[in-house]
Amino acid sequence: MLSKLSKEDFQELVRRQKETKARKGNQTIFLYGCSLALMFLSLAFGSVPLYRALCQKTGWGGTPMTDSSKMTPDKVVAVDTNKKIRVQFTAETSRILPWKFVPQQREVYLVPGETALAFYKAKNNSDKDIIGMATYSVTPDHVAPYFNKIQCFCFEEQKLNAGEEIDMPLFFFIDPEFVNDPTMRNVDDIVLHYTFFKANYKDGQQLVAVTGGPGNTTTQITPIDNESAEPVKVKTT
Amino acid sequence: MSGNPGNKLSAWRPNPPERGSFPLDHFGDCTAEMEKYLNCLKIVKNENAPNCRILAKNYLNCRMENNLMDKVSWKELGLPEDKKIIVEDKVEETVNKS
Repeated sequence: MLSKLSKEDFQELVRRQKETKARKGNQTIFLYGCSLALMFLSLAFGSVPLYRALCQKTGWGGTPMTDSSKMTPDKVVAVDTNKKIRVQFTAETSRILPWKFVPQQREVYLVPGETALAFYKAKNNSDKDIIGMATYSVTPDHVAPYFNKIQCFCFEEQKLNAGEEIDMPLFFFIDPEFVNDPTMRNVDDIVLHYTFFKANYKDGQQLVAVTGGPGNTTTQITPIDNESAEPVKVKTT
Repeated sequence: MSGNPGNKLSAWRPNPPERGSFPLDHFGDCTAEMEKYLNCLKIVKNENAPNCRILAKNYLNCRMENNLMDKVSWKELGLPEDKKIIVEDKVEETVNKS
C-alpha cells in the first residue's frame, strides 16, 4: 500500500531526488573534465618523444633517416630495369675558402640499387693549411630520402695543406625502393651538389664553419660522431 | 627541429653517410686506380658499366690495403665478388677428376 504523501512531502521528495541527480551529474562532469585534462597533459608531455620517434621512422618534415637497416647487402643489388637515372655532380666553395673544388665527372648514369663511385677534386690554392668541411644537397628535394651515401667526404673536417691537391671519392647508390614509388616515376635526373666551407676550431674543440657573408656570420656545423650516427645540426648565429 | 611538420617548405636536413667519411689520400696511393676508373667512365660516356665497376672495386681495394678505408665485404658495397676463388676451385676439380 502506497503511503499517502501530502503534496508538500511529495514535492520535497522530488526536489531531493533532483538535487542528488544534479550532484551526481556534476560529479560525472567533473570527473570527465579531470580525466580529459589529464589525458591532454600526458599527451603534451609524451608528444615530444613520440613525435621524435615518428619523424625518425618516416623522415617526415625532412628529418634525416639514420636507420642503418637501409644499407643491408640486399639493398645494394641493382634493380632489373632499363630506365637509367642520370646523377649530375656540381660543386661550390664558400667565398672565403681559397680552394678549387670541382667534380671529376659531370654525371653518372645508373639504375637504382647500383652502387657507384664518383670523384671530386680539391686544391688548396693558398699558402696556409686550411680545414674545410663539406655538406651536400640533392635536387629534386623529394628524391633525398632515396639517395643513400655509403661513404663520402662530407660532414667531417678535411685538412688540405698549402698548395695540396686531393681527390675526394664518393660512394653512393639510389635506394631500390625508388622504382616502387609512384611519385618518383617522372624523375630521371638528379643533381648532387657539394659545398665546401672553411672550418675553424672555436672555443676549444667545437668545429665551426665560417661563411663570408655580411657581418661575418658563423654557421655551426656539428661533425657527425660515427658511432652514434647523429644527424647534422646546422645553426646560424 | 621543424616547427611545421609535413610542410615541404621546411629546410632539408642532409643525410650523414653510412660509413662516414673517406680519409684523405694525402700521398696519392690510389691515384693510379682512380685515373683508370675515370678514363673508363669517359670511354663509356659516364654509364656505370660493369667493367668500370671492376675498376671502382680496384680503387676501393687499394684504399683498403693502404688503410684509407675499413675493410668491408664486396657484398655490402654492392660490388661483384672476386671470381678468383671460384676459378681455382674449378681447376682443382678438373685436376682431381683426371
